[in-house]
Amino acid sequence: MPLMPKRVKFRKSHRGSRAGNAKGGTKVSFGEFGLQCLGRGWITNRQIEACRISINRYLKRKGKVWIRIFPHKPITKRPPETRMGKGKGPVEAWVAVVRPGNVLFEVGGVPETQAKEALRLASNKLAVKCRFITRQG
Amino acid sequence: MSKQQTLTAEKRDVSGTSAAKRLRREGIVPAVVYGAAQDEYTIQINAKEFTNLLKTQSGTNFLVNLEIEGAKEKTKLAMVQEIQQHALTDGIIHVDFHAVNENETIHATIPVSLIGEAAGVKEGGLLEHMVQSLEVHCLPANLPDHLEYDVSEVEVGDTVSISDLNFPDGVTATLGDDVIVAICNAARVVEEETEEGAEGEAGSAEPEVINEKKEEDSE
Repeated sequence: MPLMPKRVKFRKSHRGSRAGNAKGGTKVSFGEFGLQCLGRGWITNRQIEACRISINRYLKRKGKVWIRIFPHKPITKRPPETRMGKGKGPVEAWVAVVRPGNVLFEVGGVPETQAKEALRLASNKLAVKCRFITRQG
Repeated sequence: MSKQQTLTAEKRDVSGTSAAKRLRREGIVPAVVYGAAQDEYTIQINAKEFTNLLKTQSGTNFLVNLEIEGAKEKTKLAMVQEIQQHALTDGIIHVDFHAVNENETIHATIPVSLIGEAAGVKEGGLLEHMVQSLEVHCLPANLPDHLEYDVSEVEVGDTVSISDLNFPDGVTATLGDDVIVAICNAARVVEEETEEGAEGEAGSAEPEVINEKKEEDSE
């Protein structure tokens, strides 16, 4: 089941801004290795789920995976061949806003080569550039 | 015990975003020194010198002997309290130095490293390192560089708590003794998942809207 909030204050939201770099969540905090975002954009709950599945499938029963982003933002889309007006369209997806520097996923308890490959497979599912980072300090 | 490193600094007269950016372009990092027994004042340090110093340390809270040009006190013992770094380049943006007294207790965060391979991991378990850094209080002279624990005898189901760590004399942890630092769990069993199945359920459920619920209640 893809991630989505349990309760929201408003059913639909504005698009908001993606400007600037990440202010927090830029370091590997839980595991040993991480996937850091270099671009900016929206990552949908389906993409997050696809990444999680590809990491788990590659690592099999080893290691632990942390998802550092959450899709808080509802995205609406008009149905095809619909005339303008009649209000805002229905919610199509839930997305996480990511900015350069955000750590998206973390992996621990596996060798670096395996973590690198697992996170590479995950980054292939995303529309933003990413890089592999290791814990500092 | 961590060795006290020497760092040269200069008193800084300029302040503000544009002045700080100009300094950073010249390879200088703006910094500040503050403490309980003194007024705060701004300084500047060489970025390359500080980066090299940082590489020799295992943690981010360490003691330095600041040699400040243009200040009343030429040498000052200080602890690196906070380092602001760029999200992508890891370039140092700003450093906070906390002036400390040699006779007063300080609070610092030091890294906890696990050495060796756990016996439980050899059997297929997973060693989770839950507390990666620990806040301790001690006299500046006793501040350790890092704490080590040999996990080679940790079996599946065993835990390492703060009471198991070997603290140097005069060093105590802020957290309680029963806080778990690391745990060796049995390997998790992952059910075979399909991407199609996961995607098929997408959008089927909708979250509860808080405001709407309130309206219904009022009606």
